[in-house]
Amino acid sequence: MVTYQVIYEAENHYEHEVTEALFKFLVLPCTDDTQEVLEETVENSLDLPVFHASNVFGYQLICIRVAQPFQHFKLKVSCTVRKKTTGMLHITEESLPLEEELKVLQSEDFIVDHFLYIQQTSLTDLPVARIPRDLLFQKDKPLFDYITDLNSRLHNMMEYQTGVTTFSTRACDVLDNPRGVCQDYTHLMLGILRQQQIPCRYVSGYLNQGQVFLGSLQMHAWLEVYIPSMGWVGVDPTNNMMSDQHYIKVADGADFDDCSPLKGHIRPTGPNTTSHTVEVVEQSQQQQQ
Amino acid sequence: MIPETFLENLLKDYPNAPGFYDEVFDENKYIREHYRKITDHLAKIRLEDFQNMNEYARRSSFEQGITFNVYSDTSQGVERIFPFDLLPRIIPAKEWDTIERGLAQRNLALNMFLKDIYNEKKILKDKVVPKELLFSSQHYSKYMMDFVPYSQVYVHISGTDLIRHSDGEYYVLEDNLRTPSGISYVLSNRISTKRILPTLFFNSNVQPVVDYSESLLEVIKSVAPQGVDDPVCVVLTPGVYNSAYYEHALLALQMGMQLVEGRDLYVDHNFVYMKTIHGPKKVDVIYRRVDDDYIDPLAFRPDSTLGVPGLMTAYRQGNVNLVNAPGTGVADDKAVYTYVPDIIRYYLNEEPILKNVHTYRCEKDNDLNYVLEHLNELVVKPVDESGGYGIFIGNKASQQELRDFKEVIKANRRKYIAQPTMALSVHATYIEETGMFEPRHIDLRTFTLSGDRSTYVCKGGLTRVALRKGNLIVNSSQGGGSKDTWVLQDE
Repeated sequence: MVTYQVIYEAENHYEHEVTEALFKFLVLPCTDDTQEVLEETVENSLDLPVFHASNVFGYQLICIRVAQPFQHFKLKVSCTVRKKTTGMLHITEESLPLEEELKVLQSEDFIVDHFLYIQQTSLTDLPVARIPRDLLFQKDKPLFDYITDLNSRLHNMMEYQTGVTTFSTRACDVLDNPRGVCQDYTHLMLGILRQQQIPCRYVSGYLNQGQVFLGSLQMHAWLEVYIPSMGWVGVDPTNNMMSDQHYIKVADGADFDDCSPLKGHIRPTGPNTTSHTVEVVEQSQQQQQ
Repeated sequence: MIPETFLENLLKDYPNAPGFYDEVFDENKYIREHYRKITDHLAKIRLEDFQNMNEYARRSSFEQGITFNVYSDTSQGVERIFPFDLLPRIIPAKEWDTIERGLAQRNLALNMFLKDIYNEKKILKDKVVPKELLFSSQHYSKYMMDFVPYSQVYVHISGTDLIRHSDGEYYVLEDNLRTPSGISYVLSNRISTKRILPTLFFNSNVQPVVDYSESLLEVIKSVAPQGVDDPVCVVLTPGVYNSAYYEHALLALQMGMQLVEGRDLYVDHNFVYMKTIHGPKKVDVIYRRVDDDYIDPLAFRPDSTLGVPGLMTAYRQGNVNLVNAPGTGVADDKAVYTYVPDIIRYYLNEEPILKNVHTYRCEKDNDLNYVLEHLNELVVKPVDESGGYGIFIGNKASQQELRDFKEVIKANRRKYIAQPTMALSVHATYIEETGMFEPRHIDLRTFTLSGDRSTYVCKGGLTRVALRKGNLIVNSSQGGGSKDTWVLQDE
């Protein structure tokens, strides 16, 4: 077991006075087979009560309604997350024989049940003809091996660079110009897998800042691929890693739009700026020091 | 002195419309049995008096504010009336009985279909409806996945459009499962008939339509969230600029509900509240006349100012119900339409009571041969594309286009279905310009309400008239008119 202290802070500034707003933050680590939220505190600069709601995929949103004039808004979420350290990673030997694996992936029931993760979205869509052949599944080895292989190929093909892409950069743009940040790596890999009918989903979360990872100063993005005998397997092309005890998951969805950390609606509308900061500290380390 | 003209003369001079079913006259130009009473009555009316009555009907519609805006019009914002023709359309009791049973059956099956495709998806796994068809539909809403609204009803108000083909049979032309409109014309047409032709109306044993609002209120209340005894229900309108605003206001008034706009509501702690001068009031059911795309800027179009931010979250949390549910548009798609008979058989294990326009599936050999031989009479549609894309209209295509398209079909038989073009029935309609009764094409928009374990079908509906001669499009936004629709009581 490893325990993390995760602190997420957002600061919004509005050029004109806002009189009414509803904010939804998707920043709270989820509780699943590998992790558990032990403690959670939420503070906001307006001292208003917050409430929780589930999003479409069942992940917890922190919501807040403001019905008073304001131009600044700050939110701080602090929580303690306990993460399993064993049994997180899969190995090739767990794979079904290739033939059986393909049979599952191609069955009607399976496709119907996973269509949301097989169907391209506007952010992930890629013209099949433009995907380099060596990035496609040749069906000569288990799916798991193809995924780890694709993970490192994309990692090597891409150049990590901030400020060259935005939240609306699409996988096809990334294929043309292979530079960007975690969500660009993720959308590209999602696009390639979905083009081959392999179910996969976008994941948002945090990285252990005690490790040398790219993208750990902000919320991170990686993906999960459905592998028949293993279930959803986390893959991080930005760091060429499989998601392990250093990965703290918040939510998943079809693409970034389902996992955007902040969605808000303000009245009256006007120009605004938002900044996010993230702090992830491994607690046991703190105590040892 | 000019001899006086009575309507009797007009009825005698009625021109035939060969090739179409005439609702009033049979093939030998005899007046059909169920129209005799009214034509006998009208025959004795002087043309001049009838013209005055017609003018009165027109003016009263305008004064009541029963108008609509034509969006395609260059003179935006001009209010127009939906012209009302005094000669009612009459449906005998027995004919109506079949229609009513058919509508109830169809809407029950469509509600079961919606529940299934948003949850277990059995009909897709059993390959009764192709999955590609739904997955490609922009109306298949992620926000409805793995969620069942109260009472398992998705479509509380359904507007099914019926036509009568040249074979004398009724066919369903399309389903309208989103926010169907038109009921206000039904209610106001009836008021006009009662005012202008009172004796005739009260002697004709016509089934009432006035109970619609009461039934709608019952349906809306019946689907309130569990544990709410006296639900607060509101009508949500996009506002005065919407073409159906009159209807929103009328229904709110008749049901005793508040008529609200998006800015009057807000969401806090996953409940919906209405701003009132006495402070916030919790809202339990929203009869929304705002389209899916606009109801919640945090879920759908972020630029919408017509909706309520956070509404979808409150809805999925079970704290408010929406009438109709979002995402119902997936089931009234033109391509899904062709599968409705299969959908009825699949869920109800019954034969459909109302006919669908026949569909030829090119994957079947016999159907393919028929389609190739009769391509110039048919409309061909791809099965896996929604929203009217890729439709081929045979009678508008050149010889070369017909030849080319046959090859396209043969190359991908599974992809195509074909349907005959339908010949809408005609009804005698008074035409001012000629001062005569002339045949005009009509259809019938019916209204079915589904609540918690109850179904109500409005007895009659909106008979729409294509006022331009030979025009087959019967639609209020295309310059059509309407008639009162009389469903007769069993003798």
